[in-house]
Amino acid sequence: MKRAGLQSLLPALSFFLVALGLAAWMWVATGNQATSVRQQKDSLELQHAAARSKLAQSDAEKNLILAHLATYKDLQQREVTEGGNRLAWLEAVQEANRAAKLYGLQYTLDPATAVSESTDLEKTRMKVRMPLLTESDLSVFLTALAARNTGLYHPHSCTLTRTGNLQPAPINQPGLEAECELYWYNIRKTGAR
Amino acid sequence: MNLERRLLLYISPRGGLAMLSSWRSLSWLAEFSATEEGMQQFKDLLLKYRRTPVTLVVDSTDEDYRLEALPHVQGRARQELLSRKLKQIFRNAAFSTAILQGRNPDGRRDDRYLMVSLSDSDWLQPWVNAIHGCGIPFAGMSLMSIAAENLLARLKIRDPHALLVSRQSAGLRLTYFQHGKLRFSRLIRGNVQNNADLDVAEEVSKTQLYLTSQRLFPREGRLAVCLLDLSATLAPAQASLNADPQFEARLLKPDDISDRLGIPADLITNSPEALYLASLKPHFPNLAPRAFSSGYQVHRWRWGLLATGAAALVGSTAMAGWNWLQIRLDEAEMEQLQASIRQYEARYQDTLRHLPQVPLPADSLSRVVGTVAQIEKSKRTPEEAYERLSAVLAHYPAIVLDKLSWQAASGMQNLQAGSERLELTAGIMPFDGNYRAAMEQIKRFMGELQASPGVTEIELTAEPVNTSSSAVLSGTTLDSGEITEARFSLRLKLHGKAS
Repeated sequence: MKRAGLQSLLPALSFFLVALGLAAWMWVATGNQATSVRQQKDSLELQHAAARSKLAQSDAEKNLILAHLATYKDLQQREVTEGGNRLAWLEAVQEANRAAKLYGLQYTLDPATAVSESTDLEKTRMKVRMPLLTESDLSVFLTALAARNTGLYHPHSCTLTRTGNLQPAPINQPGLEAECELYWYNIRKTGAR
Repeated sequence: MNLERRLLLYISPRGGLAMLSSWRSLSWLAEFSATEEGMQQFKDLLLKYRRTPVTLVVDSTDEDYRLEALPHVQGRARQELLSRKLKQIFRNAAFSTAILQGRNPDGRRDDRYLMVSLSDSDWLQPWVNAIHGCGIPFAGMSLMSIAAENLLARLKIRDPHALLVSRQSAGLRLTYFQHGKLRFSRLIRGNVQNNADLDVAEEVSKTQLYLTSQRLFPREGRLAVCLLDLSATLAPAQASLNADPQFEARLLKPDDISDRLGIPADLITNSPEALYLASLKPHFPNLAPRAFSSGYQVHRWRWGLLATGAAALVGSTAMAGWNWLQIRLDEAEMEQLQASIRQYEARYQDTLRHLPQVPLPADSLSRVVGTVAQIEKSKRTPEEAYERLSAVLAHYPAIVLDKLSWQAASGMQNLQAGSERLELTAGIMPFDGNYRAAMEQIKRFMGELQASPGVTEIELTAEPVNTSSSAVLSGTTLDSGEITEARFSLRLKLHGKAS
């Protein structure tokens, strides 16, 4: 093609380049906008799914709480919640001892430790040492403790040791000593979890 | 039919005519005589359509056809080979071309070419100069015979040997085709107006003799003669030809042709050349040198650029429209989603407001309640174990307990399984120093314990006397000696019931 031919192509070439540029701009600009809106929509869809899931979860939570509310209130009444009440435990063992007409007791409370089955629960070991007249006194003591319905506990171990001789004595003197370990359970305080 | 608007010019030594071809239509423009006045009219027309590409179809008696077999080459080598061959055959012919017609079935499988030229183009030069002079895009030059090949195909004439005969302003055109491929063509000029003096049947016979002599047509062959009877003058020729068994002549009436080609019947009746012009393919063998078509190349580039630019604009506008539509749809959907989210949030807040006040999350509460239930269920006291032991001890008054330890299993799972452990330290009183008897009694005691319900395992952890060969053993059997105790320890594993 000669120079003149090329020169006559200039307007068409200019149009072509301008049209191509304009087309590219329209393509990219509207494409970007569409992509941006699509991303916003995708994000909203995720939010929508999350909101729906949250609502469904809240309904499930409500049902779950309602199902266990009675048990929780019972535990509240027994002072198992909010870190438990050590004083109540001590009073319970002392009163059980008195109710069994025993001779008093010595106690030790260890610091609370975690319960592997639930991170919201903790347990406290209480060691109780008390003199007994007969073996059956221990049962009477444990029955009296259970009857108080204080806290949540279970006996872990009990050791009966003979401290006196077997000869009959004119006055009833305790010849046995019991040492029991009781585990007291409580729900941690709200801020301690 | 070509999408591009194109000026079709038919030129013969007697003059010419112009037609305008555009999308699915062909229209008659003008007719020119081979005079000064006709030339001026021709130039005026060219100036009027100076931006429209022009295609020239020449109808001349001075056409030359040669069949050649050339080695099969491609690209630039083919161009050079054909250029050399054309010069060799037609010497200094200004307008010539080679039409590829397939390959030989055997041997080297050479390419078969039909070499075509306009041997005398002096009469044509003023017309070509006029086209060149006005700068109109010149698409190329073709011959009536080349256009006839496509006309034959469009008329669906499939005879192995066909002769297409038509009468137009320049004379009588006879074109021979072998299996639809152009082999030879000739124009015979008459001496009177409309060439009415020409004996068509005689000219067909002469042509057949020539073709036979040139071995283009087999001696025993039967020639299908297609008479394009546009002026309703060829019926006698058909009758005459059909009298000869070597011919099979058939008349093609303007209406038939018009139906088959989609061209108005009156157009082809008034201008028989229109048939050929309409049949010319957009890409045809061009007899004009490449230099003649440089303007057309620029024209094609220009339109290519304009069309591509416009297509890009249209395409991107469509795409932008589509994107805009998608944006609007997405935005509408987003509004619905936002409303729905607000609704869910309101319902969630409402649920929260009516949720019972518990300091634990629901799942923690569930876990805690579950664990508490397990603790309550697995709670044990030593009473049951003591009762079992007492029941057996009652049969052994000589066994006196010193220490009794009860232990529930540690761990929630073991607790639930209900396993307990009992350890006792006792002595046999009174003891007369007979360890054998004491051991017998202890064994009986252990046996009875083992048999009692709930005892799963029993072990003697300390014997009254250590009879091991590795231990020191001392004592006395003197009458005055102290009576020692027969102390022993047992360990039991029990499976109790939860309280």
